[in-house]
Amino acid sequence: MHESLKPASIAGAKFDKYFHTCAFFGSRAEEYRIISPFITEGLEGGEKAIYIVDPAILPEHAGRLAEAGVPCAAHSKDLDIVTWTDTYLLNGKFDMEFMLSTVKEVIRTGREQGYPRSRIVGQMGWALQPFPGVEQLIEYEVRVNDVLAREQHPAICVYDVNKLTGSMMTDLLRTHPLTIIGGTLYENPFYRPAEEMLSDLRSRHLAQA
Amino acid sequence: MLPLTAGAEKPADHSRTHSIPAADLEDCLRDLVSVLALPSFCRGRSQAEAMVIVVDSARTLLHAELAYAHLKPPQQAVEPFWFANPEIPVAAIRALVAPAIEANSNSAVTVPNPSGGAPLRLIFVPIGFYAEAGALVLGSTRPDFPRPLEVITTRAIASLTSATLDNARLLEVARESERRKDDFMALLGHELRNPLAPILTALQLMKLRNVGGEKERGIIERQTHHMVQLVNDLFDISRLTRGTVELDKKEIGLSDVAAQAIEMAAPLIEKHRHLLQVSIDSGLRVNGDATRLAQVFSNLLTNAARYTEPGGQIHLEARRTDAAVEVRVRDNGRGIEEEMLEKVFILFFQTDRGKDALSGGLGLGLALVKSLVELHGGTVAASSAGRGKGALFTVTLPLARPSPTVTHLPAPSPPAEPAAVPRCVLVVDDNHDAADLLAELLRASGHEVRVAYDGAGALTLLAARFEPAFALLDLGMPGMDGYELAQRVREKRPKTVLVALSGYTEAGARAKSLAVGFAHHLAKPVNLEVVNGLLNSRGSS
Repeated sequence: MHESLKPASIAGAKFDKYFHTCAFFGSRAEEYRIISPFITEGLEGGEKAIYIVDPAILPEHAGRLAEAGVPCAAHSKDLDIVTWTDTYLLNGKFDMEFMLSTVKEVIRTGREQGYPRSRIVGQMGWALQPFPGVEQLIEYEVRVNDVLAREQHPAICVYDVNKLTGSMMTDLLRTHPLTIIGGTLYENPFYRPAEEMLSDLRSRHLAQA
Repeated sequence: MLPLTAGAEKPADHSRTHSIPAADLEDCLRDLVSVLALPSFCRGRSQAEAMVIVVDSARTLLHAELAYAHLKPPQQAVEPFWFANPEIPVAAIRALVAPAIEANSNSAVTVPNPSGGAPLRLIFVPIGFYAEAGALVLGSTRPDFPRPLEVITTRAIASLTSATLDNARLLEVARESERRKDDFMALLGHELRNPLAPILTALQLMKLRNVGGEKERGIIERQTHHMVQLVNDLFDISRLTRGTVELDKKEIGLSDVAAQAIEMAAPLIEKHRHLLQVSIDSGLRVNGDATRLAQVFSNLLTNAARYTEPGGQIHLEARRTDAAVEVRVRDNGRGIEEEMLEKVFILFFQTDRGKDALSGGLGLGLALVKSLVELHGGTVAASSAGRGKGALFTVTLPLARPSPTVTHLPAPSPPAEPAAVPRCVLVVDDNHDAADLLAELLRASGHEVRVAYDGAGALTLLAARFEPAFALLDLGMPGMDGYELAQRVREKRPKTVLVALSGYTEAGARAKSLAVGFAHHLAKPVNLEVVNGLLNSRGSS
């Protein structure tokens, strides 16, 4: 990453130590209100942005971003808007290894194209539906932490707060150093390291078996 | 109260805190961040929903094998729980936790494990003083459950759960109050429409017969239409707040919408001798409900006309921005103070200028504008340089996505209007004035009309061999309502075309009418031309 780059920020918090944020929003309006400045900050700094969205909202997404102040959202070559079906759910299932490779590839390609940094935002509504492979979600979230921390590129996983259970929230909060819930930012310096959380997940799976 | 020590019931030894491993302290701090998020996570949820989340979070945070929420009235019917063995029914869980609830003490209670194996240690976690809001019961087979750090986490959960439940309760009270207000407004709109219907019908009759002074008729007509407009606004607000507004969205040209809005606002603009200047870029198209958007812009134009001194200037401009259409309504009127700009869209809000007799209004117009614009995925904002410096309202709507060109085949000519045919008509309404006047109007159009003021009267007419081609039935009659009467009429006169008359015009009300056999559903006050059009048609819906 470029030495001179200012740290990226979201909702007033800087991505200087942590690069993976989990955001729980109660509505799309809240999502656009919080995420748009994050995207705009990147585009204005000459960075790349990738927004992975629910295919159902694709037709209106660029317009909503533009309304929320993202410059030229509809036709910016610096902002890629892609859907779940091309990423998380390629071939109709969630493949954690494929998705981790995709994140690395997005960062590598951006760098080759001359972007100093890539910002990734992913809507995670699919994760609350019974798609094959969805049980790998928490492990994916844990492992992508490491990828992003190593590369120092910020990413935000966006969840619908109304669809989460208490245990999912707890697990996600444990694995994310930064979390946005109900308009409040929570910084968790004691977030569970990948190996520890993975070990916990494995022991839970064993207990269930 | 909770045990302050792990397992053994003896006082906490704070001097030993330093001996807790750093990793355990980190775990505890990490978990406390999750607990801190509970109120945010439960925001907007009911007490019962919040407790489901608390139970699920608590059992995950404490690695508990059992978590149960014991709630106080009126929430006690909700019984969120989690047990590691999902096959154990709630009744068994209830019996299992009963000793802990009974003990209501700071000591862990040991009970047999219904799944077999090690016994469960249960702790009672009161929520609020004396468990006023309820309690959590958490259980584990670990002999050292709960450890001191778990006690801290549990206390934090109890404390934030108490605040969360308070918030949820206040929210429920506010929602209930809001619901009652919305219900009242819907009822008020309906009740106000009822007397307006016969007034308008009488007016139509007076015009038809050319009775009463033209000047006086004009005054009654204008004032009644003003009242109808207010009632319609009340109805719209009621629908918007209840979420029952349905938009008929399609791709529409903005210039057509603007033309309709100008036509609607023209009487007031002309009355105040304002100069209206219109500048609309060609080819602007949005995806929206033409009637509702015309209502938005006519409200803004009417607002500008109302708050600008006679002879003022109003500008209506529309242009394309990045991916949106921006419509601006600007005037050189009385302006708005900066601190009021945010508030003008609040329902029932009145600025000082609202107290002016010239201005009038109930504080509904701009609230309606905001709600309707937002339903279209747009935004509206007000700005003004201050008192006496005019105001600017800016509406932004998403631009319609270009759609493929569709070639239209030449449409066949519409069939000619059928000639007016005298019909036999039954009118039933418990509002005598409304029924009599509608009957008179229909008679003046050449129809044979019989009137009844309730269901029984209508059935008596049918029993006397009256065979109406059409039956116009008020739905909201006491005793036998319009729906029941419609069924009875259908049994006796299956060929009679049923027409519902109602103050409720939502799609749900129409659907209900059609479901019970009405061919048409007309909103009160009924328009004579519409009724005549129906009677002259073959009567199918």
